[in-house]
Amino acid sequence: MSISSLLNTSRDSLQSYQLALDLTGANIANANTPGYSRQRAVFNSLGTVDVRAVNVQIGVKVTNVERIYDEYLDNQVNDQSQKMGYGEAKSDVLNRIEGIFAENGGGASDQMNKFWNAWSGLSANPNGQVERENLLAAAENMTSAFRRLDGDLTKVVQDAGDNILNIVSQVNDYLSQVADLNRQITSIADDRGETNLLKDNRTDVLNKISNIIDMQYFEDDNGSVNIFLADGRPLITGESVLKLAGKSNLSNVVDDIVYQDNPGVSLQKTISQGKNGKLAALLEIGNVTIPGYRDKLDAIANNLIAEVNAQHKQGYDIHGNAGGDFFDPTTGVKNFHVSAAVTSDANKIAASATVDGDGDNARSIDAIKDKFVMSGGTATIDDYYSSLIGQIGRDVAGAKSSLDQQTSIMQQLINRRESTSGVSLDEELMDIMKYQMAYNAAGKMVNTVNELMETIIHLGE
Amino acid sequence: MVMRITESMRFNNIVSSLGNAQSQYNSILEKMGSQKRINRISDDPLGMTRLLDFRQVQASIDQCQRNIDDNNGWLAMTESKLTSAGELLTKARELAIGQGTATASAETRRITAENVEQLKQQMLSLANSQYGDRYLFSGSRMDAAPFSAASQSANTDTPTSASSNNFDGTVAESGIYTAGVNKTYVVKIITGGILTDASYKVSSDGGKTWGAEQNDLDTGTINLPDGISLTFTDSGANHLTAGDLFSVHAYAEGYYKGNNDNLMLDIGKDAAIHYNITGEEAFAGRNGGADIFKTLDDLKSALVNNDQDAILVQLENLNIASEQINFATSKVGTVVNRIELAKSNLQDFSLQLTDLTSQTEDADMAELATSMAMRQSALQASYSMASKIGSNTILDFIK
Repeated sequence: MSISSLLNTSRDSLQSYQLALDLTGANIANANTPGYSRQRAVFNSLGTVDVRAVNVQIGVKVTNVERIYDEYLDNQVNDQSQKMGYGEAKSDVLNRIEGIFAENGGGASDQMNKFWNAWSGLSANPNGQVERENLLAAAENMTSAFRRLDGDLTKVVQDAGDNILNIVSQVNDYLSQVADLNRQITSIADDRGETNLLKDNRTDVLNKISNIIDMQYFEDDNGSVNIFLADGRPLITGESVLKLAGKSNLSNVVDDIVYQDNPGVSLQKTISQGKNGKLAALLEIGNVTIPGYRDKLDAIANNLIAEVNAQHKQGYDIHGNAGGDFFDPTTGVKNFHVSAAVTSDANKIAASATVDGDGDNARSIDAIKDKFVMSGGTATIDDYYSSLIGQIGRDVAGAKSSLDQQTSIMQQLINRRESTSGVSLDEELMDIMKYQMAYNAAGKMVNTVNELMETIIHLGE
Repeated sequence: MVMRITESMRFNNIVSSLGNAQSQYNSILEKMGSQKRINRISDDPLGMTRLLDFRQVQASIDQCQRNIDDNNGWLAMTESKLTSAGELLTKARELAIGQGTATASAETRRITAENVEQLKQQMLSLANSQYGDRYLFSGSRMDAAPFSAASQSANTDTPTSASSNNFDGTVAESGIYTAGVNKTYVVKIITGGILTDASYKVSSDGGKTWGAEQNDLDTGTINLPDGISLTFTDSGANHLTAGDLFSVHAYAEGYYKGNNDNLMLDIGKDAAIHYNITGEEAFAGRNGGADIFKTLDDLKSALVNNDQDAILVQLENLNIASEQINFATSKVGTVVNRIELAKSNLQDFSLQLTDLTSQTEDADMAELATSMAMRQSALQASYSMASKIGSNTILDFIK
């Protein structure tokens, strides 16, 4: 072992500590970068030499830059992120629906009450023009309140569809990014930390994809991440991407997702049945939730049409003609209208049970409100509507509380990930001190070697 | 090993606890502002459902109360007209008693006859009283004055063909009406076509209830009950069509043109009250009573004819008529009482409902104020935490 090798040793230490300080600097710089995993220099002794039968360690080298990262934790975060994506999107849309069904005066329930009351008022003065016009206005307000509910729900479905399109193009974008990162990562064969940043980026993108769509992934031997849908259909294999596309139904609303190059196969069930990811929520809203609400609105409108029309036809109008349809007989809440004949002439309202003009038929129609005509004869129309309101309220409250719960789980998981991979400034500052002292010491070593050299050079003088 | 705590964990935690404190504080502010516990459906879905039920019941109570209030005028007017009618009858009785004695002369009786004629005219105007544009004593035929000045023999109106009918041939009525009360007959065509193909149903109560379907129109003649018949002549372009309606009003002998239909008023859930007095029961006395106008006319003839016995017979009829009017008046009184009772029940119920609604919907202000104070201090704590979060780092100690 020579003095000059002491210099080499010192040089190695200076370089290693500088690299360690570089990494510390990078950690501090990225303390707030989402998805960043802190990096640590892994020091290794360069080996030993025998000096006069004594085994001496010589030199140090940073052999590897370690990315502190817990894959199991990251999977959990992604899983939770899928649940959050679903919960957030669902809660968003349900809040909007809740606003649509708000019953703070002027809602459909209010208008129904006014409708029944107008019949009762007409029964007390069956030939009164004011009462007839009043009933007509109440009936038109009620039908338009129900049509507004239907129209607003349709708007929500359309918006959900538009949202699906945006999100699908986002997913495609993210998928391309992952494929790209896969390519870059696999092309760097010898992993000594060069791929750390790329992997961090990929983790971040995977995280974003998880939030959007129900998927699974694994890293293969090459370092590529392969992504699959919940039922095992591929999205990414190595560097090849199968892009998705939104698909419209007959009424031009996007309610399904397909592969871009295989538009015949519906992926709607696959994506939505696990209730994971934003897309699942949006697909569910358009395909299950809102059609469910609309079915109930349809049932209410259809029963009102059937019951009121049937009773109305039993009566006689102000001129002694038999009553016709009070509501337009076309079923479905979107077609819920007062019949054109009645709208154009309030005298066509059949308030009387005889050709002479009592108010008994109006009373009979008013009495429909207390008849059990819904749910197979177990609920009145008003009960049925209140129970729909109750159902929406429970859906909203349920979505909100499960979102709250998921948010707090997410918070914990993120904290745990932070705890493992996050940058602690205190720790980094301690590292700076540690590496600085070591660097100074290595510098001192060079000085010492220098002095030793001088001593040797001047030995012969 | 201790858990590593990084700066971003501290910031994340403080941000989320600030968010929680803010949103809870905000929800309390919203409740305080609206004074309501339920501001949106999801605040309490079950409570909201109950609220809607309460509101529905409240709305129908309000409507019943409006019905009752609007009807008060009708009842008050009916009562006052009947009372006046009773007074007129008392006057007529005094006149009859005065002229029924042997001391009365042909002269006084002739003069009195004029008085009786005036009483009858007054009575006629009472019996034809209107409330708004509805006749008080005409049953459900509110469009025409129910009483005429002179007695008419049994007759019918010309049959009316409903304006929505397809049939454009003619329909004529024949025969003598034999029933004792006024009725409205309606014929409804069930199967259309030429006369031999057509079938029909007949209603004797204005179209409320129907007899069996008949198929005997071959001659074009339908024999209605009580002596009258309708004859159809298929002379137009359109044959009888299903749904075509033909009605004919038939009147028994006398002064009355209205009918005996009950008018009903909703005064609560499944509760309706019959509130009108028909001319038939109060004035025409067709069910064993006295026909007031006939009595007055007969009294007048008896006076003109100076027939003491006949005057005494009419005096007896006037007594019956007075009882009849008194009975009708007391019936109105009963209706008024029942309605008053119903109204006070509705008011009680409405109060209870208001109470229930308030219990379900209204916020407990004391409780809110307390939790607001709590949330406020939680929020302040979060703020002061947030303000100190950056101040503890090792940098403070490194020189």
